[in-house]
Amino acid sequence: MNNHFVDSPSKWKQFLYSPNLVGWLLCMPALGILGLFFLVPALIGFRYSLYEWDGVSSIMTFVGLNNYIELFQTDRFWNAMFINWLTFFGTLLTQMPLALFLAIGLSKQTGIIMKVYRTAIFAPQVISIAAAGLLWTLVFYPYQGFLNELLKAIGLKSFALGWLGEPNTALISLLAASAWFYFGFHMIIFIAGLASIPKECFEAAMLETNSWLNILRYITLPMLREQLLISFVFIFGGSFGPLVGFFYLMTSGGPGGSTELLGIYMTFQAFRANRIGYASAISVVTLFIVGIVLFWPVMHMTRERLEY
Amino acid sequence: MSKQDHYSLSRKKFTLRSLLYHIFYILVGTATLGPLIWISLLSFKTKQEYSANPFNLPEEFFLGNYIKALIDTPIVTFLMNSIIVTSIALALILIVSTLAGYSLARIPFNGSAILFIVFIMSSTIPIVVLIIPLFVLINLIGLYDNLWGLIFSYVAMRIGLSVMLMRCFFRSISSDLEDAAKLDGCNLLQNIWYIMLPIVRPGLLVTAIINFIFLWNEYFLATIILPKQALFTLPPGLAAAFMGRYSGNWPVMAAGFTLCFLPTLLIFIFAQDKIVIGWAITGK
Repeated sequence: MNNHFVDSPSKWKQFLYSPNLVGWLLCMPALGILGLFFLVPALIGFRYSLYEWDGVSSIMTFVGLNNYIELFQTDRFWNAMFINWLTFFGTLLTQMPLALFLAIGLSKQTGIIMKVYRTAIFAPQVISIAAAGLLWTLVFYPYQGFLNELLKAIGLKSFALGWLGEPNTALISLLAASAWFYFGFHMIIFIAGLASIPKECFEAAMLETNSWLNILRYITLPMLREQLLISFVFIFGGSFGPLVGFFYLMTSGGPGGSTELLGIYMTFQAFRANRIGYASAISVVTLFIVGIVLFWPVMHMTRERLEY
Repeated sequence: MSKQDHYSLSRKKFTLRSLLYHIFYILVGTATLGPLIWISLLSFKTKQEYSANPFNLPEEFFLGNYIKALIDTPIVTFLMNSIIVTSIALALILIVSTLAGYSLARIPFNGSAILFIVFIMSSTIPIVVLIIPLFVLINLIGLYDNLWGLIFSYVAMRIGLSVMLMRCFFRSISSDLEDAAKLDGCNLLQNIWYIMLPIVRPGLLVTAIINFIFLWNEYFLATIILPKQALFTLPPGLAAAFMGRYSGNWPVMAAGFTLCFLPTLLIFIFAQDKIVIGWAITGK
């Protein structure tokens, strides 16, 4: 760009150093990888969803929208869809309030004590979801598992269950385990948001009202809307994405489909039933749902970030 | 809560409320940290000792579980694979997101808003949704029998977030230095390498740490994409090895996991502030 100062640069040089070209060129490597490993899979998924294919043979039969029609008539798909939304609302309603509550409490503290608590609460985040999954399998294990041993030790032996083995308790147990794993992350986001609210806001509000509920409602929550949105995006994306791995490892969707997320159903259709086309249809439908729900938050986040 | 001490940052006197407050946080902290401590202690017990008393401190620090985990399982192979995948993917992520982050932060060009939407969108849509087509694609382009398919999927997964972070860090630098460098005849890449990168190094470290923890820990994609155990990274490797062969022998299992989460735990203990900064910026 030093050539800006040369008297009359040639057209070619002007083009070569124009911000448009340089800007796009620098983004190209990132865009290339995103294109090949994000956009192309989406297109491939859409294409294969119109075919019947076992993934191995060279025979691919074009079946039009039949995979989708079959999908929408399958109870197991609707069950997975229901479980997935239940998981989303379950995580949203447990992790977000808990994280917010703990963050508000912690933001009042300063110094070493706050740091110790923060470290302890955030710690699960740094271990692998595989480690967390197996850890919680040990906790919920019916025979000599942590939880049942604990219940025995405090004299509640009759409450000892095979937590992950029973349809009634499996999903709740998994939600508890995933809350344990993830809520520290949301807490960190909220703590950062709370730290950026000017103290004058609270001081002014305290002249007007005596109740912390009002302060929460009129000051804290509105000022945290950006963080709440991010947290929502992560929870929503998480229940269709990363949580799939967690559930897959701990229960593989069982017992009786009571913890089967769309991702797990999709994986089983692809690798156990060898129906790549059908699995791709599930993939497209899930992508569609995720895209629709996240569209508005993404546009909002973009506007917020581009403005300042 | 009364209005005096709600939200106030001043030091409080020792009251019943603050006692309850600390008890509450200690309980939550125990619930989050407790299982981790439990599993590390478990790894030093013999199997008999564990069945006799699962909660006590180990009577003596028994290292047999670690030896068994290292020798009897292919944990060393998993470890090597993890190191390869993590380091290559991390390097790619950092290079690619530095360039794109710089471009979005410092160069005003047509279409930067659209690129921004693309990056944000890619960071919010979970790639797990696309795992089957991704698997098919990796087979099609012949990255099936090696680690590259996984590496590039990881890079694609993390680009969005990393570009956002790098953009924020680049934006925080004043443009004076850059202008001075231009006057002195630096071209663009020299400018990024010699002028911007040294200043933005703390930001680069934040991006690196956040991505390292993710890459080291990722389980589901690796388990689906990698075709055989010899290519497994640590998380799917340990899950496969211990769910099968050692499913009854919890102390050995615990030893494997303690080995697995030791690096990230150490990074976390020494570089927590960086992680917090990173997520704080993401939230803004």
